Amino acid sequence: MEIAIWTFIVFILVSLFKTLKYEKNKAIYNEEELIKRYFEIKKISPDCRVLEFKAWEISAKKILEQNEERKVGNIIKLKVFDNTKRLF
Amino acid sequence: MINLELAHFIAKFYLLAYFICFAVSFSNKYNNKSNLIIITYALVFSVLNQYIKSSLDFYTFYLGSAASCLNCIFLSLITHLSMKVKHSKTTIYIYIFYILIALSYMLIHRIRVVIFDSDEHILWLINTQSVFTLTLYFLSICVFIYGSNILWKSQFGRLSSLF
Repeated sequence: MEIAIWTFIVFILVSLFKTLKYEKNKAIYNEEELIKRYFEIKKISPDCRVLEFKAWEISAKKILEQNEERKVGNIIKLKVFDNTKRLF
Repeated sequence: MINLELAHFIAKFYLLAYFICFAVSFSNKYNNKSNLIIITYALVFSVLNQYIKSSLDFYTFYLGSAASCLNCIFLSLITHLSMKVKHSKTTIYIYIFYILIALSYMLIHRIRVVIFDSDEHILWLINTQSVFTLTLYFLSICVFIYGSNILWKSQFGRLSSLF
């Protein structure tokens, strides 16, 4: 009984840190901030807003790229059994 | 421990405060979603934990209450992920408060069961721990009220026309 409760407590603490890290990296959760920023920039007069729009675009692209990078990085590469070079 | 009548009074007061926080943030149009989620769990578990605690014995009482305190965090994490709601700053503060409460429970469990095996020698420690938890619960209520984004004019504006 006691050990079960201890494992439960440890499991919760680990899952908390995991989710907070997951939220920081995922693009879905940054969507709202990007949209807000977009409408802020739209209010600025058209002569001045070009540079800010470019910065916004770069930041949006960066978030999407980061998301894809992580997906690729999750694959485990085994050098000994790596036969991909022979196929291509 | 604290005098039981006083403790019951404080518990009733906190339960009422949780319920008011829930009602206000539920009725508010511009509420903080993640704050609403954790308020509902706090309200549900404040009642449910009493039933869990009554089934525990001497050796698992404080550890079980620590686990039931962290249960609230765990379920709110699941709902945050499933509903795709981002954690706001206020919820993270509440998580910190709840973890501190659970840590104090675990400390008491360790000292009471493993070192002393009785309540008599460490009554002062149990007293201070109960005061510590009650203050942290009070602070969490303050954070709930701050996080519910109450606009006093839109919520209670009609009252001012009466006077």
